[in-house]
Amino acid sequence: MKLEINEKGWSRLDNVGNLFPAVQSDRITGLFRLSAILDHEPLKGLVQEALDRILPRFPYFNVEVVENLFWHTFVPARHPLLVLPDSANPNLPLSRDAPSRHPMRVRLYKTRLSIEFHHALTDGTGALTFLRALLAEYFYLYGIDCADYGDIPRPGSAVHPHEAEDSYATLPYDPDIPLPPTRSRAFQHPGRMLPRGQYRATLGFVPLDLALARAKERGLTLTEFLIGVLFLAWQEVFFQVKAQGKKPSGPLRLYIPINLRKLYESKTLLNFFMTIPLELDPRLGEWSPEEVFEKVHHFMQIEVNARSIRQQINGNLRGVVLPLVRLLPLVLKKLFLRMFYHVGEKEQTSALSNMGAVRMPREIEPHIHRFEFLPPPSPGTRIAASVISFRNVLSIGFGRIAEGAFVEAAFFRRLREYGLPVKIETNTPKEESWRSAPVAASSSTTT
Amino acid sequence: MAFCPRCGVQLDNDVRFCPLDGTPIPLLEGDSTQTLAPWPAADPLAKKYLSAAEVRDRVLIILSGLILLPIFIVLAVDFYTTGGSEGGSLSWSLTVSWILICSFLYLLFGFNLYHAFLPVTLSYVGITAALLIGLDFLDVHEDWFFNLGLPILLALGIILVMNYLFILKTRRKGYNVFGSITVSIAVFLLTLDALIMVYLRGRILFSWSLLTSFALFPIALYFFLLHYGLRRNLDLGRTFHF
Repeated sequence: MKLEINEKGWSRLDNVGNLFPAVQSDRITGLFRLSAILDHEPLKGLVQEALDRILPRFPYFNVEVVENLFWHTFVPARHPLLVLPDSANPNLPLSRDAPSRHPMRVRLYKTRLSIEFHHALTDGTGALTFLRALLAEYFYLYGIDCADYGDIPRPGSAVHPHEAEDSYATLPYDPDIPLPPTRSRAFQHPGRMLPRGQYRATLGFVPLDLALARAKERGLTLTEFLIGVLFLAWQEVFFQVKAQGKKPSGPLRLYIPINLRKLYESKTLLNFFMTIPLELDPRLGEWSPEEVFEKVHHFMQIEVNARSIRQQINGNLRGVVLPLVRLLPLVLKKLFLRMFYHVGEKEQTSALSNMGAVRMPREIEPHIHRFEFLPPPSPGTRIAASVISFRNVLSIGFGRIAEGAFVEAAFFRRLREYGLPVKIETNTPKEESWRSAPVAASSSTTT
Repeated sequence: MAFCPRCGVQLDNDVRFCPLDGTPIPLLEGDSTQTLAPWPAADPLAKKYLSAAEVRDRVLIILSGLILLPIFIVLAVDFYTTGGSEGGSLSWSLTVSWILICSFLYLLFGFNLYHAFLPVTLSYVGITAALLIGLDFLDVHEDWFFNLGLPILLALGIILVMNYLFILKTRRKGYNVFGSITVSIAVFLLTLDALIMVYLRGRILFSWSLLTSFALFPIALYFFLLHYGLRRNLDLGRTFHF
């Protein structure tokens, strides 16, 4: 199904995109951020010019979200997309009261150029393609022309007919496929929620070659290795909570987004991903690192297959294709979707999303220090992790909206124990107290 | 380069406490250079208060709970008290529940479509029709919805929409808005009177509505005259000064 926004004047949101505007709130912003750290401070005017030149190449991103009787839809943007100054707290909500409903923001602070995308519009792959195109155009205007831009879209280049395809629609709902199993409540971040409008970003930078070597020593992929380390960090928190005499609420369950483009040979730049749950239950006793890595490795090998993923997609589609659901007005759909969303979030401990390695043209690469990726905030899981790498820098970002940096602390401490040097950057105010153990999470916030 | 002595992560030179575990980072001699701040200090978009949309959502959830919870209570009370000692049937609670469900729908559509007059009017007409047809169905003595309830509702809906369209289309809004509203009230009262008479006596008769219309039409005429008949930018102080 193609999104013919320029011909019809509107387009549908895809299967995943439909969910996010409906559940959006001041806490669930649906925004994730991709940033590039350059070797110089770019001029705002030049970035704006690059944005103005590249945005028409992506007509399906130059849209606004509007409410209709039954669903949200995209309409062509009525307002220009402006480069904004950055905020101390990334991924803050898009204003629901503002006249403009552009579901993305371009932000600039010193050497960092960031794009915050709403999940209604696209996933990490689409966002990264846009950021790479914006950077290439910026450097072109800056005076660096490349001999070969590879797969980076350039202004005026032809739009691939399947770029704006709703690829979920190529997998029709099959009532014969059983629904995915319902899951119990999971163990979650024990800290209290931060004040509204605050988002703690903690970024750790690790040499990619060393991290790959550590993973390879254990016969793991980099994603499997990082998932294993994250499980070990959460296990540490789990037993800290237990040591206080509190009963942990359930097992550890991490949700891992899987890019479906390779699996289904799609070229879409809209959403096309699916999350799969990985579970570790420390209520059965403490798992050794070897056991955790082995479990993660085998699970990823067994569960990441077309059949299991098709079952998950089919389960999601069920909520969209049922006639009763389709006929419900959007005001009622929003009410029910929010309820289901909150119930679903209780099944998750956290999430880890790996964007993989970013490639830029040879001439541009020396002018970019690294890429950064920050996940969307979520009041249910309260903390999520995201990974991206560029050249030899592996960037691991944690986005948190609850008090206490104990998950990040345990994670990066583990990496140090594996002999990986870690450089930390955070947006946490210097006056804020830090807690290394959840024991203090229920006490006062001041030092 | 600064390092946390406890967890070993590398930090910016100007960091005095480890952001992961709070360990104090000693200031090394000759290490006072400020590194590039990774995040802006000011936060132009941060807000600690709820947005108007968030407040609306929360009020809606609370009011929905206050409306929907009694439904279960009255159904349970009716179920266990009606039908003699054995219980097991529902009577009066169905009417109450239906009124509460429709009240919830009024609330839901009003909160979500408050900014759009036409959709809110049409949805309210639809909900009212559902409310009346439900009450008619539950009322075993009379059959009044299709003969009386629906015509009144349609008349009200048409008059409201026409009034809205008039106000929307008029270029200069002023006293003519009051005039249009007054005419709409008068027309609705005439229609209401006629429909009730048709239901009761089988033919169109006007009784009390003639009196109310007689009073309302001159008022509407006055408003229209004030708006269209007099000059623009009328200085009332100068015209009526004494």
